[in-house]
Amino acid sequence: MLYGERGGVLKFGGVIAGCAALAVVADGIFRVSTAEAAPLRPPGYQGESDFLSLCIKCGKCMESCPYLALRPAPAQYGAAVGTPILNVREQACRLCEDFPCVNACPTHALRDVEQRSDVNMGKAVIDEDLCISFKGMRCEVCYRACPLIDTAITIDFRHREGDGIHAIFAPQISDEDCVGCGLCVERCVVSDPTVAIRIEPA
Amino acid sequence: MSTPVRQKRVRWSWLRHGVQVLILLLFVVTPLSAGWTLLGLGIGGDEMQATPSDLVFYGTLSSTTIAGFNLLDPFAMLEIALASKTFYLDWLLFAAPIFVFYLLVRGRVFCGWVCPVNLLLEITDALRRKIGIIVEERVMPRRVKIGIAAAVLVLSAVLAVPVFEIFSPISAVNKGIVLGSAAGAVLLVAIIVVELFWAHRVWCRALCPVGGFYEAIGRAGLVNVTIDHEACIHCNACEKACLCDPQILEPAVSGSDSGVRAGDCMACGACVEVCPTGALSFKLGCLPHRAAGESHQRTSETTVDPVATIDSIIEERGRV
Repeated sequence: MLYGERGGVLKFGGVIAGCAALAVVADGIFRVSTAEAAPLRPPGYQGESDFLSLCIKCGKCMESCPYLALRPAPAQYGAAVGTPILNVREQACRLCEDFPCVNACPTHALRDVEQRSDVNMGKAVIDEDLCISFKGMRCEVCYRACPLIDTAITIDFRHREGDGIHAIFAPQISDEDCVGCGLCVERCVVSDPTVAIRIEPA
Repeated sequence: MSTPVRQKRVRWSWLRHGVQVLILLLFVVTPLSAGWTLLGLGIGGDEMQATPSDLVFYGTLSSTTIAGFNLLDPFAMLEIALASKTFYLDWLLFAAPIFVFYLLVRGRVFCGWVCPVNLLLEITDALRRKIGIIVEERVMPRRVKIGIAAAVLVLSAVLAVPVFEIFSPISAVNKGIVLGSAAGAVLLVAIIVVELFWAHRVWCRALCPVGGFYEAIGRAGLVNVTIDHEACIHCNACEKACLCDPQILEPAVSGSDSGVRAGDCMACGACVEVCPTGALSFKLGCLPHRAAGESHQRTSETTVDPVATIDSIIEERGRV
């Protein structure tokens, strides 16, 4: 009787252990096979495959960001889970002069940044159908938010088409100078249906 | 009838739990004292905030900075060297202090005294005893984890990603608390479930690649459990208490070796603490080879006494 009960407990334990092992294997296959689009990375990032081969997810970049802009990638990022990413709509990179995140990285997954122009996180892209500046309204919030104002974003003012009186003050992104910090995205006044400006990760 | 005074023995388990908790707290206290919230729940603003990196100690178990000096997990260093096929010389500088420390003390001291997963599983042990779940003592293939460590390194090279860092349950605890990272969470839960319902320490004894890495360098360690064969009464209390694998005590207890030589030993002190006759003790220095030359070795050991454990000092006094 006692033996039977014990056997029952052990069998039950074995089944649970088996399920746990299966869950781990399934999770492993999911992680290695999931290829989510490359997220936005901190300054000093040198491309996704380079970054993923060097990042040990120690979190020191996150612990050195004075704006708390860097977060560990959540579970749906597959093998990249725990690596630093930015959600610039919530909190953009301020491009600190001394780049504490780059200096904190012990493995050089983030590297080679001496000044702001060395950063290449991505490029801002404006959705001209959504941007209210392109509809003739004065906004220029992204332009004024940009840490590289008049370099990365400039204002192209011109006559509105077929209109002799009104002007358009259209923000223009310089692909050469924009480093992808995302402050323009954080500040953009348009949110419906989506934000009118986004960062294409490098 | 003279009963030797034995009450004043070192409570190794309590000392060890103290160190485990202290290390866990160290990583927790830094973000808190910088004014941050744990679990990655802090929110930044438009103004600069103080950061943990401004403090003397910050980081996680993968990499810590102490007073401006970087430390790097040596196993993670091997993974990224193979994954990225590059090598930065400063990695060596950062990883060497940790590697040399465990090489000199004993590889798996990390597992016994530092690893938060072990701490969690010891709590699980206590919990299981309380609930009354019985799990069988299963013999684990303890060298498999060395193979897994090697496999992780090979896979890291093939996949160009430090593979264990995706799954590490050590990260799941440490970085989960400090940063709110989800890495390793599934494996951690699975380990606890298996521990609770199936067998003791399947993960730590047989599977963990970090444990395997430290097992591989374990035999070089200078902190060793030695045995006084004359005092041993073969009660097997030590084998029952052993945190890593009762098998590793076998050569010492059976009289064929002068102590616990296996790289698996994590110097947790459970066997030393539980031994009713004080036959087991920690000694500093290389383990004398086999029992034959014991009498010669004993004199040389007493001359290298200064760092010998309090335990053996008390014992010596008891004898006089």
